[in-house]
Amino acid sequence: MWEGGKALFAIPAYQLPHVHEILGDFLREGAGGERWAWIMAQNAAYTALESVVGFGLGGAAGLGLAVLFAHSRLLERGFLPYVIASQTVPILAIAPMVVVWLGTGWLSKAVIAAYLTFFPVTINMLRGLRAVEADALALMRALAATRRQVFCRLRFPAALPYLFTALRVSATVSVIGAIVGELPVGSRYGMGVVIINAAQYYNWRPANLWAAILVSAMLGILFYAAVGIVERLIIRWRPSMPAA
Amino acid sequence: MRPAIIDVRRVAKRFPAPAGETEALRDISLTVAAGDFVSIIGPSGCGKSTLLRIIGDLIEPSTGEVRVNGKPPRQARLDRDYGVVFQTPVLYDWRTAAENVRLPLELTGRPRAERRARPSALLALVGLEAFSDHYPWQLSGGMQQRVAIARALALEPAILLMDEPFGALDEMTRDRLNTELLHVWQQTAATVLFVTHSIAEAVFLSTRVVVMTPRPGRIARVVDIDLPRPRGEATRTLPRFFELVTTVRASLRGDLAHRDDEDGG
Repeated sequence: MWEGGKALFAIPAYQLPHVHEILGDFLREGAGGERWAWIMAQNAAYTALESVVGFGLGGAAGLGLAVLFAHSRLLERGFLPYVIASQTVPILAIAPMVVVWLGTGWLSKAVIAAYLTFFPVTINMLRGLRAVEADALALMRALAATRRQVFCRLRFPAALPYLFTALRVSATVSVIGAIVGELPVGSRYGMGVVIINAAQYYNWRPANLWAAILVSAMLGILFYAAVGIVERLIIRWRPSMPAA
Repeated sequence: MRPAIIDVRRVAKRFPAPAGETEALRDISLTVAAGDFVSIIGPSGCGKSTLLRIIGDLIEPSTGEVRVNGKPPRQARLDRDYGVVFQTPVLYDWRTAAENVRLPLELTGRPRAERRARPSALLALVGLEAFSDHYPWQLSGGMQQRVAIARALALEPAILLMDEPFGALDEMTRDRLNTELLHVWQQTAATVLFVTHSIAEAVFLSTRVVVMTPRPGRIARVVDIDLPRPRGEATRTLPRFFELVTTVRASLRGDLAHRDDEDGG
């Protein structure tokens, strides 16, 4: 498809390199004498670590906020607007500030990833916790269940499918957050750094940027798939989950 | 007469509506004796489910008073005197049949041995012992409702409140479950309050049928059902069965036409 589109629209190599050029880039030796496949793998692993930590932090924060809001309409009305506002500020504007505050190490990137991750979790989980059938609640009432029992045995399990939908979104977004966090000057490792460098030398070696994009995309897909596997392990009461 | 377990006195219920209020129930008084099987029948929107929910303390009456076992409904609910079955099974998707039946036992902190043994016994009572490890989606609608009945019986409630439990099922399944329900009722000695819009179902099951008027719901008539027990499929062919069905139908229609039910039929 790639090569077909390229041939069909006569796209020159500097706009869209050949597949073999992109794949060949992984075998090229870098300045330090290492192959690019190895350089990419190291940087991808670094970004993956940031994403995983950010995903964990963001997921936990998102879950916590959802539970808090589900318990109190007052808290929801007071704080949900700020949660929404936080997402309207471009991450590109926030990332440099976080890097300034927390340094150029992996922690600042994880925090940026978490910043993007928590929002879908909060919104979806809150909806899931609220979207409980009226009669399912009436049953709990008839059984004189405590609030805690209603939460643990009804609301939370009922919201799990919503949670995983959010986590799938968050999985890919956390990778983007980590990469964006690596863009500000001063970072030394990560796919964001590779992408920035490759972009600067694009005219000279376009395949390098495409290879970096390929690796970043693979990382996102890997995370998405991992969440899917966990979901299938936990939500076993359904006949079969829809693919996406 | 046996002592009254449910005593409803002059209960009325009004709901807020876009234009003022909707009067759902007007001046309902009703007593149910312990061990009775009482059906409440009436046209759609007559407030029969509302009445059931008031008795079960799922909603509050606007005026009037309800006593259950001599207690206010709220106390009866906290004492777990009720088992409730809704029109939909309301099984929790993430629990197997046995785990759904176990839910009330978990909530009340019953001993582990009981939590393990009782669900199997109850599922056997409703004929589903082979399906205890099935998830709700693996069960038919009728089977799901039987699980819901088993769950309602888990804490051996004195009163079983059933809100059109078989309304969504096909007629053959419904007939079979009716017979099964009578069997279960005879084994548990619970008092049953059963909301339905099927005349045949009400007559077949009940010791008494309470006929309600269209909104605002009032009690048009209480019909005593003197069919012999035990009842089974043969009961449905008795002349007396048809007479009682006709009486109930006349009571329902007689009121719609604002006439006395004597000349209906």
